[in-house]
Amino acid sequence: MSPAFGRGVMTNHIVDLKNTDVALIMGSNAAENHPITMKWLGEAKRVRGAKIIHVDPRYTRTSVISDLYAPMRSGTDIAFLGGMINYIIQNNLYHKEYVLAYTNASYLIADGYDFKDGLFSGYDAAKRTYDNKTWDYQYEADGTTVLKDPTLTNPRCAFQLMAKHFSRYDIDSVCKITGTPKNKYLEVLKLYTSTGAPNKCGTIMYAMGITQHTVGSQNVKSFANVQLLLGNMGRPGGGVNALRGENNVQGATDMALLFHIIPGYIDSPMNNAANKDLVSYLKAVTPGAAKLPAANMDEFRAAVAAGIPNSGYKVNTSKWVVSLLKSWWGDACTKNNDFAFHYMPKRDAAKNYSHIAMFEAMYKKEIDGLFVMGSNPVVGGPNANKEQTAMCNLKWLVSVDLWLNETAEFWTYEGWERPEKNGKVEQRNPKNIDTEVFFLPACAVYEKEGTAAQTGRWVQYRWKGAEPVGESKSDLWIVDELAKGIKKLYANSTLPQDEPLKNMTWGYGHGEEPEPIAVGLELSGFTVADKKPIASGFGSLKDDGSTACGNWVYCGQMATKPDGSLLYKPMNRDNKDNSKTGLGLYSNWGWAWPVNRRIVYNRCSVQPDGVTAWPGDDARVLIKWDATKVSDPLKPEVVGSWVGDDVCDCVKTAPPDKAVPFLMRPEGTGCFFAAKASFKEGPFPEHYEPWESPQKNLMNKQEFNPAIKVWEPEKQGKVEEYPFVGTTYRVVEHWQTGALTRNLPWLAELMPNMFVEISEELGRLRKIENGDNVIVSTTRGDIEAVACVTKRIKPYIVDGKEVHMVGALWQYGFKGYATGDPANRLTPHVGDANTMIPEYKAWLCDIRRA
Amino acid sequence: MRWIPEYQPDVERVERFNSVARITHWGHTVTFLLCLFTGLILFLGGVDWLAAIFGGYRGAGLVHRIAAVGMTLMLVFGMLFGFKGYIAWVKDIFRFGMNDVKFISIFPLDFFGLEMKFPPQTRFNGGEKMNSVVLMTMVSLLVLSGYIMWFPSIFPAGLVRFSYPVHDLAMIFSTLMVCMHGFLGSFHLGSGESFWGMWKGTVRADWAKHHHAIWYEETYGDKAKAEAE
Amino acid sequence: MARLMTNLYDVSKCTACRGCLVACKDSNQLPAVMEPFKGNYATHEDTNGNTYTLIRFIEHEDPVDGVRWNFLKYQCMHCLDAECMKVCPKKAYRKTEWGATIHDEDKCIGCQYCTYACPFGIPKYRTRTDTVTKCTLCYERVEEGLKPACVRTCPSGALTFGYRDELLQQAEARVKFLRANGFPRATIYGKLELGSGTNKIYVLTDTPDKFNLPVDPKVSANTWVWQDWIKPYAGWLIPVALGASAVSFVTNRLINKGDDHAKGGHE
Repeated sequence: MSPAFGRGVMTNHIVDLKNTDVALIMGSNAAENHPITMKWLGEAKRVRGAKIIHVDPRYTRTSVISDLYAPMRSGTDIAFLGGMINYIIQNNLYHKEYVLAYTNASYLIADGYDFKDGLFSGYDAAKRTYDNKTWDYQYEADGTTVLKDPTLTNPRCAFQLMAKHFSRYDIDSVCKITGTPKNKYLEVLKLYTSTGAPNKCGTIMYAMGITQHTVGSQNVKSFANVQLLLGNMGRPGGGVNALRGENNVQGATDMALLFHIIPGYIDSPMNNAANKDLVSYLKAVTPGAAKLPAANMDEFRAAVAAGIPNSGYKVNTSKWVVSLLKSWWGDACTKNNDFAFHYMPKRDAAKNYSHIAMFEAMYKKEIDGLFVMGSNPVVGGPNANKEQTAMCNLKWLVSVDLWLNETAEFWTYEGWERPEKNGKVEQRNPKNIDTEVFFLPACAVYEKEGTAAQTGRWVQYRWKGAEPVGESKSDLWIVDELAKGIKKLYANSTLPQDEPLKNMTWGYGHGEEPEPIAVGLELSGFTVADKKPIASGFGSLKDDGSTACGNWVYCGQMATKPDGSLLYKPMNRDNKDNSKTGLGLYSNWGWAWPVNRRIVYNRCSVQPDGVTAWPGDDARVLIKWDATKVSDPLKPEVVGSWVGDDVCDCVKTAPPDKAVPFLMRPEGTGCFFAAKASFKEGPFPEHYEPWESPQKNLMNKQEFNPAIKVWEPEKQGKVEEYPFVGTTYRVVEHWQTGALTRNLPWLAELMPNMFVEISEELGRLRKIENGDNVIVSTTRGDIEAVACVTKRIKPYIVDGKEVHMVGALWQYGFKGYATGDPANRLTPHVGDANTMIPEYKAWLCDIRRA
Repeated sequence: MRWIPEYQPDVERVERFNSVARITHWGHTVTFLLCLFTGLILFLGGVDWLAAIFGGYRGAGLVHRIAAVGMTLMLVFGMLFGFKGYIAWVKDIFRFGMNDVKFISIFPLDFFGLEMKFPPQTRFNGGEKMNSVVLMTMVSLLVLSGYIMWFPSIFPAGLVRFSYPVHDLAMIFSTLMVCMHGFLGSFHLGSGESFWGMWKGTVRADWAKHHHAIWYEETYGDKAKAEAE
Repeated sequence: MARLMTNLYDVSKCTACRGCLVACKDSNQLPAVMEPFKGNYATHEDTNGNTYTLIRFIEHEDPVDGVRWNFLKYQCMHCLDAECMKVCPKKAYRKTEWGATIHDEDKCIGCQYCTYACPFGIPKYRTRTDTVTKCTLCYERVEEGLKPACVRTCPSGALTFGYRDELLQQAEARVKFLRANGFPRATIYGKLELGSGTNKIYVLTDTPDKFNLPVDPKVSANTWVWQDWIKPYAGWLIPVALGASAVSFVTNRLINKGDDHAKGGHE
């Protein structure tokens, strides 16, 4: 989403779903995995007469409450959405003023850009990568001003190129690929594209069904294109809404629990020449700064102050990075030592550190130890057999969890029981596994304090409800003790490489228990001189070492109360809607990053002139330009300000013609054409079949995503041997790998056994009756499960042939009250080209009666 | 005032019921009464004092079940050791003829004290035959419906639901019969001697000749004696 | 009688998350009952002594509507004219003045008459306590001013609690809305069923049979005959018999038939 809008987050929030006219739920089983969304969609239905569309490979509990359900073969989302983009353009259903003003539709694209046979220009087949040099705009002679065509007729403008690109996605071709009945597809197209009308807003809700594919990022980009075309971005009831799978997964990504970024979504430094010192690193990560002549920080700071063309709001990256370094190394971070940039760990540019890569390395005995915290890869990791085998190569493993889960007990006999000893998996004996396992009991969410950032970016403080059981400790306590212990070990070291640890600031509270509010202060940022929180937000961060901030997107969550004590905004609990038109912003409940903005890109909720609402849509205006208002009493000379119920997502004092809607993008606009390094596989989404597919690619000559890394080519299942599409999913009764829920009797009884869902047709084909025990197998392994033969799954007619699907729950393991084989023993070790999210959702398998 | 006729060992007596029949009869009497009184607790409702005798409702429920099993066992016992007697009993019931009809039609007058002239009867008179048929049927129904209610989960719900009124109705009719039977068999003037038939096994020969002429003739009469010789 | 308070269950909003089931078990402290998965999401086949409420998952398919997956929260309907109350020999059932049918386990003797008399088959025998048990409409919570546990937990708003007359109006409006929006057979259930209605109101998106509900719930004729005729009237036969015997005993002796006859002989 970031290449299209500038931020990779749920653009709106959960309460805002009530403002929608049409909700397209695709690749998500929201009713089961995000039940609370149904409350607000229900209100939209009841109050606004909204319609819900559900597009999914199977008929789920979400389909039940939808007005329209369309089936679709797993892994064909781009075909489905490409057809929608084509339909919108062919039938002139797009929101014209919006597209022209708020997107890069009019930008002219460089002449070298081309697309042929499923490949964009610049492909290197040997390396399976693209040289993205040609994926760029046309510039005027100055090299920075982009050429545009406001009539959108130039064949090289982004809009026309997009129209041409998707013209191949006609309805018949799409239905041939996706297996969607044509009439259903047309219904979906008609209903959803009706939100292209200026007074309508449609929201798209998606989850793992979209991202867990080898084309996951491009699936999301397709959504972005649809929503930009229909003018649904930045408006209440619109947006591209990524429903996060866990209550704090948003917080986890914000805090950079990913290998390629540092806190605040800034690319992490690498061990190459481009990152050799702070200035060169900043040049690399600040858009448009690469060619700056600045040789040191002072020159760089001056250049930032002067403004860098095509940089967007990220021109301020240096302030965020320096403040981050300052918060990490405090006094040891000074102007004289390059702000301690050399302390920062650098990743190997040639290496990948994603989940799959880590376990591949473990499998090759490149890693000695593993720290697993709140994770359960034996159940949740792709190709779990391999990951479990890889763990046998570890010298030590630390598991932090509430219960002894499958990962903590991966070495037991139960852990190696398989339905069949068919040689796919080496049977192991505990006595031959040398891994030393440490288990640290963690306490549950209700037994500790702290914040969690939910899917809509709301950061909410949670108080302790009960005392921890036994010796269990909060995650914060465990990390705190660990850090203090490590620091103690290195306290007397004189080696230069130990300095980062020795000098790292660490101190959250004074007593036995670390204090979450102290962490909150560091994240929110403070002025170094007086340690007072920076309440005004990240606009006040400096790159001279005078401010420290652990995560710039969280800057401003802490303020000082009049009495001098700290006001931690995530603790706010005012459940009154502050929106005058009842949009459900609840701005004084918790705190939303950035700067308590509830709906991002909200500049788009008014017309380009900044004062007029979109025709017939007065109630959904979030902000307006007030040309007479003085926003800062200290600067009375600056007249004119954005006002409204939400915090404006543009420079507050920038007049409408300067206030760009997507300020995190260098273009300042939403992007149909994702320029340069946005994506590994091309500026426009293109349909490729999943890595394992029952069907040849009907759209182009590439079978699967040409830019993905193939880890195990020999493990690619063939349709002759494994004829059915497999997919994995969750049910509402269990939580993720089930470590929490399968250990609770009340939840375990609701879904006591591992089961797979198949159609009645497949049941007849394989002579499987409802309730039979079956074995599902892939090249990676096999599992036993109970068959649920249901009318809710139907075979897809793909290119005239019947394609069957086997749906498997992936939440079971051998521990707890509800047990079963982990479905991830079946899934492949292959991931998205950009994010490396594994392709859990589409693979090939076979099924038979046990 | 005499309740039941005096037992007279010195007059000529003939055997009326063998020991198996008597054990079965009295076994049934005890278990039936136990079942009846414990069952009435629920049927009548609000008779906590009656429940208290059996140790409360749960105690009564337990006694009811134990007695019910006892009753079933008595049936089995009778069948096992007195199968011939059963056959004879049933056979006699099916000798229901004009005499029996006459008996039943004029009996009510006798019941309230009028002296009536009855036609000769077989081993069981018309009233006894009626009693036998009703009780046999009702006890079977009680046992069947009782077990269905005891283990409802293994029977179809409709059958369980049907069992409740059946159990109650069967109880009412069998209790009705038991009352009459008890009275007539013990306290009613004239027929009181039959009590000794069931208690000691023998009745006075003259009484038998008078009340069950056909039976007496067939079993102990001259013809029978001649045949025996 | 005070104003009736009841649950409104709107099927069209239910996502079958089964939060109500867990909340019910939590509130009533009922242990889990592990039954193996047999191919239907509703792992429990029926309510039982440790499961007062459950969600049924019913699949239908027809050429017009395609596949429909109907959910139904199933529990005691709290009939306004409750049959369980009538059949209970121990009067263990009572109605609160706001309409909940409550069962007193201390009085219950586990006879299970109610189980089979109930037109919905709800009260269930629980071995561990040797009593019958069922949904209480959380009357203890309600009388403390709280909502029933299932209502409190429902995330999608399918369950609401309030005054029955108000909820009936809501339900009627809702049915009208649903009929106009793709569910032409939407209907209210519980308004007039069993004559006087139930103290649980359902808004169904289809006819009751599509939810495995009795279309016209009836108290079984057996139960009716038993309760309304046999119990009150047939029982009199016994005292009649006893009375007649007593009369006979006296009259016989008054008339004083021949002494010989009285002694047992008859010659």
